[in-house]
Amino acid sequence: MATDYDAMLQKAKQGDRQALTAIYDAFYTPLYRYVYRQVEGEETARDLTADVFHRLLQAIQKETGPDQYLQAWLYRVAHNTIVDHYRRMQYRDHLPLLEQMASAEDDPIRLAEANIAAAQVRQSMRQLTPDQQQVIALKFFAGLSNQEIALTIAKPIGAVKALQHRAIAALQRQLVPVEEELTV
Amino acid sequence: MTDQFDTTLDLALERQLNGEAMANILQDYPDKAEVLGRLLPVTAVLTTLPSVPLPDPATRQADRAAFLAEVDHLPQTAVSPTPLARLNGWIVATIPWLGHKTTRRKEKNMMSSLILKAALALTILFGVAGGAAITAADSLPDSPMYPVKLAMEDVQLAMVGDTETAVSLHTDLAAERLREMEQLALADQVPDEATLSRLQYHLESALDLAAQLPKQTMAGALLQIQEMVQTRTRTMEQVQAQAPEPPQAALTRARTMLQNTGDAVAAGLQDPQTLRWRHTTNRPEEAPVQPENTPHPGGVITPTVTITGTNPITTPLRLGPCASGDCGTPQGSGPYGPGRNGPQPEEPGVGPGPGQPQATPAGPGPLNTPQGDCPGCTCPNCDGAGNQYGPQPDDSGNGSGMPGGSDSGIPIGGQNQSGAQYQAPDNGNH
Repeated sequence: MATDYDAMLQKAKQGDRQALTAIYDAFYTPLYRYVYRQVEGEETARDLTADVFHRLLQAIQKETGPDQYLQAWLYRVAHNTIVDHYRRMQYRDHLPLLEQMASAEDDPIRLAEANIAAAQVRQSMRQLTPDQQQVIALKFFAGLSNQEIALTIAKPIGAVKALQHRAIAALQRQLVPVEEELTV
Repeated sequence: MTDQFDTTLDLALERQLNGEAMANILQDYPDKAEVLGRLLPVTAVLTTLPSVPLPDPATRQADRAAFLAEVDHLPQTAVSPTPLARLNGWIVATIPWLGHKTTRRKEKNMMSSLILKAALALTILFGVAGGAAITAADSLPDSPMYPVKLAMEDVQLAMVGDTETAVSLHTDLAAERLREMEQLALADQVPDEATLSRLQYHLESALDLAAQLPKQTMAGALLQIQEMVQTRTRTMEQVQAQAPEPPQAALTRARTMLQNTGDAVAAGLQDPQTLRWRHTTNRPEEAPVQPENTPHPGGVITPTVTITGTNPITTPLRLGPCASGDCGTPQGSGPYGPGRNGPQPEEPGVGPGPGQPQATPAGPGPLNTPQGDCPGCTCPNCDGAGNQYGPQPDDSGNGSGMPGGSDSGIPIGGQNQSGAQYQAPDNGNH
């Protein structure tokens, strides 16, 4: 798979429209999900995902883009985009958008619980170190393997496992009590 | 231990993500079941989050269209990549681990660019300064870069740490001044007064500093000066033979300076103590400049005195109570004339007047004193090393008896109060 992406990337770097379209189609959904889990609202997730592809085009234009490991490069850019987003958010005072717009067939209570849980996860994730956040997000939100995560964050697999351990221990201290409270 | 648990947790997580029940997983790790039992529920929270709703198809289509529009505005890349890109590609293909770094250039570029700029600025700065220094090093006094050269030399002198090095540097700089003068002379240009002054300054400084050195190193420093003097004298002779007329006078003056320095060095090598006395601060400030010629071997002063006054002195003066009677060194020797026991004017108005050259041996100061050549002399100061401040005539009635109003100590023709005209002896410093 990686070889396919790399072949697409080489074509894309030549300005091949078809290759760029293929890359977009292949990575839009996973990147959108990855971003959506970490930010509030669909609009924000769409904007940030679009920003990732915009940066890819810029990198190709400036010849500073990746030569291989396209997937790792895209997730790394996505992570940086999210970090930038939260950095900008620090200077803004606004109300978060609703996690999911209610539809007629949704159970309002279940929907509210889901939104609260998702918000709590995001809140807890923000307490982690950037590396820990990235490992958890890549593992549980993007579904990458340890090797892919290692490539993305440019660390050895052993370090990925250690970061994962510390991140889960930190999340456990924050999330589980909430979970218990919710069940009570 | 921790590494092992990291791996265990990772395996447990994989199984959990694959849908295996937590109880089954914990069964396989009984010794770590407690810890795993606390951590695995976290992943349950993460994995049971509501699914991410994708944007509706129309929105997705709009986003895709926006991306493709941006692709269409992308300038067409040349078929053949730029040289930089080709080099980058070659590096990545050849050294794969470098390729990984290239993907991380984004963060590094800013700082490396700053460092690069600073390094470039420093390189240019030092390059320009170094270039100017190199250009100035070969400049002549008529060159616009010559002040830079002199400034650099001054800096060198200011940074010298020890006296021995300073002697060496002054010697080198004196040689450099001479080289400049030679080049100018061969180009039919007259070396200016400033160059001569600097030559004199370097020669004197070298000598003065050499005189301050301890005995062990003084000889070496003096030999260095002597070698330079001899070398440059020979060169100067050749240049003078080839040079046109206009610069001859300046070259002759330079040769004289060299000659004087050479003489002083030779004397210093023979008698370091005297050199030290003459060129260091041990010498009293008010001491007169000593004559440069060597004392008369016999120590007997035989001035040819022509006195136009009333009391002509026609006999050689033999000064001081020298028991042997042939001691040329008068007692009470010193730079300020004969001591109290030395030859005094017989009566007021007869002796040399104030400011007159004591045509008589005016008290041999260290350099007026015949060196160790006093056969049969019993006077303690015959070696002239002491009594620099020999008693002065106090009843001459015509002055202090100082050896010459010029404070030179060099007996020159003069006239006393009574109008006696003294004629200095040929080697009138005895």
